[in-house]
Amino acid sequence: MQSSLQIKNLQIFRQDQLLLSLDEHVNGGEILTVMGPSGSGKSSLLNWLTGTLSSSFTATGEVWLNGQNVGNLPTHLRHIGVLYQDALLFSHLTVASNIAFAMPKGNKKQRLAKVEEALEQVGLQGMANRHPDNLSGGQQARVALLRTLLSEPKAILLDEPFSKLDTQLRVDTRQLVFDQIRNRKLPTIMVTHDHSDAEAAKGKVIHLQAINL
Amino acid sequence: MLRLPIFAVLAYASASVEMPLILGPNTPPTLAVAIMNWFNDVDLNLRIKASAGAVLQLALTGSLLALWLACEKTIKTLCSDLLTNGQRDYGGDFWHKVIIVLTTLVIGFILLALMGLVMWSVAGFWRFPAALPEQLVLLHFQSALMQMGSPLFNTLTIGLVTTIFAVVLTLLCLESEQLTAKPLSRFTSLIIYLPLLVPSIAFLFGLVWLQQLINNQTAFFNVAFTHLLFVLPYVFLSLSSSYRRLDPRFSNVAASLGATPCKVFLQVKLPQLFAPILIAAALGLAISFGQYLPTLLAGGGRIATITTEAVTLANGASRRTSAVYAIMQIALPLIGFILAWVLPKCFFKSARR
Repeated sequence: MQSSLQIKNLQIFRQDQLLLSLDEHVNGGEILTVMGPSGSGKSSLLNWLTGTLSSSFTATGEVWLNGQNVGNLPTHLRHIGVLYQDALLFSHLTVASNIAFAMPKGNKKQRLAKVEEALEQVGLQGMANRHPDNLSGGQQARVALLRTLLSEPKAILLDEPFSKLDTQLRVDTRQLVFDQIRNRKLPTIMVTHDHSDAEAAKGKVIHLQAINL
Repeated sequence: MLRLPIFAVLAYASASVEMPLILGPNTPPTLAVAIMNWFNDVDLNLRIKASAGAVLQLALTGSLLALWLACEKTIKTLCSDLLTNGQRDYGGDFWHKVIIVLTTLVIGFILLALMGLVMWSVAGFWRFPAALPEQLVLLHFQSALMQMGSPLFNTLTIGLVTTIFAVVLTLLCLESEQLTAKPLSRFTSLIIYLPLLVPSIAFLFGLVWLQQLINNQTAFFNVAFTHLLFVLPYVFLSLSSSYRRLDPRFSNVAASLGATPCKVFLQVKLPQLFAPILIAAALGLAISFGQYLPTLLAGGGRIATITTEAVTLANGASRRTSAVYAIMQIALPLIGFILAWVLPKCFFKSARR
């Protein structure tokens, strides 16, 4: 079955004022880009999708993932991965433990081998036992990507994940992320300010309006 | 934000028992000391007087707090235009210097007292006008340490049990606050901080009476429970600010990776809180080590801790022995805080490796 992420009749309200409304369908391997000024509700959209919408907002609508309504599930059961601007790696774990955090339980050696293989694929071989705070921004972003991908998500959300990287790094990391998404056929929603991100995504682009407060 | 600490200090100062006992054992008693004497009197009728006294003490402390609040409101209304009249210099430099002098004096006194303490604990024969003792001996430490076994054991076990309980309760409370996304109501916060504000002499006798009704066999449990009442507010104060300032994005990331709330709590939040938990525990231990009246009353005199021994000895003949006990009283919490400082550096070493 084709993997897909579907948002049905979403409306997000902030204190009874309509913030945004959305009705979209994203197929596996496609990237929906959402752009808009600050305050237009981009982060709220992603929060709603992961189930972490703060209580100052209310929302109506449904989210269907691969034909299943996940709107009533708690965050940890939705299998929707998120990549943020900051890598948010756990400081008390090594790189390998960070990546293995999300992997299902199994043979320790096998898990380690899988982690090493993944590290090699993104050019970080041998860094399994490094401490996350000692890595550069680009390296951290790649580790965060691996951590999200190895949790076997069914969809991916990107919250301006490249905005803290310098230009060349941005292009390389972006290409890496998009390649992985297309290979694994994951429906993706990306929030960004950058038009070059939107162009590279080669998907539909939505512009949100700012709400006058 | 300064209000709670100020109220706690006002409550303690107006109802302290240990300080009048140590500083002026034969002087006319303060209300709190008088209440204690009435309760302990052989003539049981005085207990009724003591209960009245406890209520009076409650009213006294309450009116002190109310007075402070009233002054606060008055000053606020009278001086509200001071906030907006554009004047920047209120003689800040002058007050700064005054405060520096005062603080230096206070710290100086404390240091001198400490030095005196240490001198007495190793003093042999020390005649009056001499600045230093003629002999330095370790005899006092040796003999005191031999007798200290049981009080020390009690102090440590009660402290550990109470603190562990307090830390676990606090963590569970704070975690459920985050899980249900409902902040703690003001009423609950008031209940948690109540033991800090209500004078202990006022409610302890009632509590002991209740405890005797329920369980008069194990003094240890009663004492530990009473200590818990005083340890919990401090542990909560200490941990809650660190807990609430945890970056929620880490929990969100972990959840999106499929970690159950339990796994998030144990594997993401607790490691991040390792140092704050240790500090809160050290604080709790320090509070428990220093409890005098609760130990004495709840244990019915059956449980001796370093503090109860120290207060008793302070009124006794030997300055040297009481100095040793006092040093022990200082050393115990100090060890706790040193551990709280050192342990995070050993485990969960971050960066620069």
